[in-house]
Amino acid sequence: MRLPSPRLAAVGLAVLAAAGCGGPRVVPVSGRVLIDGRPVEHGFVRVAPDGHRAATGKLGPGGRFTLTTTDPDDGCVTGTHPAEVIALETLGPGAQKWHAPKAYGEAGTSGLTVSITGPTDDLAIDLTWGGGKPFVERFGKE
Amino acid sequence: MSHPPSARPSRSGFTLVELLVVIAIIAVLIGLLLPATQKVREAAARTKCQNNLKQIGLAIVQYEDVYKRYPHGRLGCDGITNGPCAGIPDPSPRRNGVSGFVQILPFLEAENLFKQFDMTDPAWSINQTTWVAKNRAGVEARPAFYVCPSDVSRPFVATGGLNAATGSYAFVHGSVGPSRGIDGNMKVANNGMFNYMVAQTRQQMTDGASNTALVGETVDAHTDLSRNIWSNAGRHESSMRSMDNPPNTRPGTGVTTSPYGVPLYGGFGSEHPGGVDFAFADGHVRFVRDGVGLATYKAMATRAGGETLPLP
Repeated sequence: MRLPSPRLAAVGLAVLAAAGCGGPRVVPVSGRVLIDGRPVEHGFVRVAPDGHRAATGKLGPGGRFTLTTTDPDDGCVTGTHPAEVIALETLGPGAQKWHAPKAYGEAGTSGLTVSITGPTDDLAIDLTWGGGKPFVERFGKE
Repeated sequence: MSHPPSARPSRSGFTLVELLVVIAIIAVLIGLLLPATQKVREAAARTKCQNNLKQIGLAIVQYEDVYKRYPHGRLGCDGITNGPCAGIPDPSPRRNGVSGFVQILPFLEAENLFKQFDMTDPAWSINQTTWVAKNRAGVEARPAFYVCPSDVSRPFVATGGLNAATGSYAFVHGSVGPSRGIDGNMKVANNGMFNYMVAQTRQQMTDGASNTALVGETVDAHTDLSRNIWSNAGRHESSMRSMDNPPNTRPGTGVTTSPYGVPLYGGFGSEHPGGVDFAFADGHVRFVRDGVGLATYKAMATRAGGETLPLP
């Protein structure tokens, strides 16, 4: 039996690749969140694509996060999507601290979008206090 | 009659190879059959599970028909003193933590179980010294219609001197959950049909009954990450959950809040592959897929968000 020519094999692979990866796909995504140039180290980042499961990442040291859609750290679906930064730190049963304005915590008010074209480890999200500063909310009785 | 000693007895039997072949064939057949059996079992369990949700949905519809308002998510206020909870003495029956699932028991033909809950000294109230004995029988009962056969959670949670029974379903508190943490408004002013203390009316459900989810499924009811005691309700846990995290987010992951040290995700989930069942306010039950967009999922939770759901 004669092996197929390399050119034919390449065309076949290209056709397969086009068929399999035509639509959006989930790619590994990590990055960092800064507010006025300083890292946001508490809370969560969420990317909420239209018509696809949302991805979430927990903020850590240096404002770093890694997105998870279904399996841990699997990433986010490609495309341009609304994003939220929920910079909330729980301080116990009666208080919580916001490390960025609340408005960033909801897709409707955050004004944030992210563009994911392929795997990345430096997705940058930059926020601003616009004159405000981190604040603590206290709730009396539970 | 006897055989001549020289003739060997002619025994017809299987050779080792034949035996091995037969065993291999049986093994392959079992291998083929077992997954199919499991699938049929899960399909049957899911049907029962959806049937429970249908019953619960219809019980809520009937409750609304009789009382002209929906059950509360949680009957009382807990300790907060803002909004509708201002001025309520502490302790007081109006601070109790009984869930709406207790309120609808009479509409599920469980009047006797309903009577096990003493509403003058109700379960899960702040004053834990007296109610435990009075409400024990109710809290420790585990009615079959609140348990999904697919749910592998353990049946009881030891708490406050009781073996509290777990359940597989939770009320939809709203589209907002752990992303607002422990904000006092999280208890009484979420945007779904079920809150603490406040009972919604049909007129408040301007999104329409077929667009508003009432009850969904939960998993891991015996764990601290996703505890679900059917007779109790609390924001982010037990029988009050939100659409803040996508369906079938793993408990403890996604957007969480940790007021008591454990990350609470407050979400819905199921053991069915690929999605979660929800009962809607018009009585229909819909399987919502894991891949649903967050905006659509949240629209299901709100009672007056101004959204209608895209057809599946």
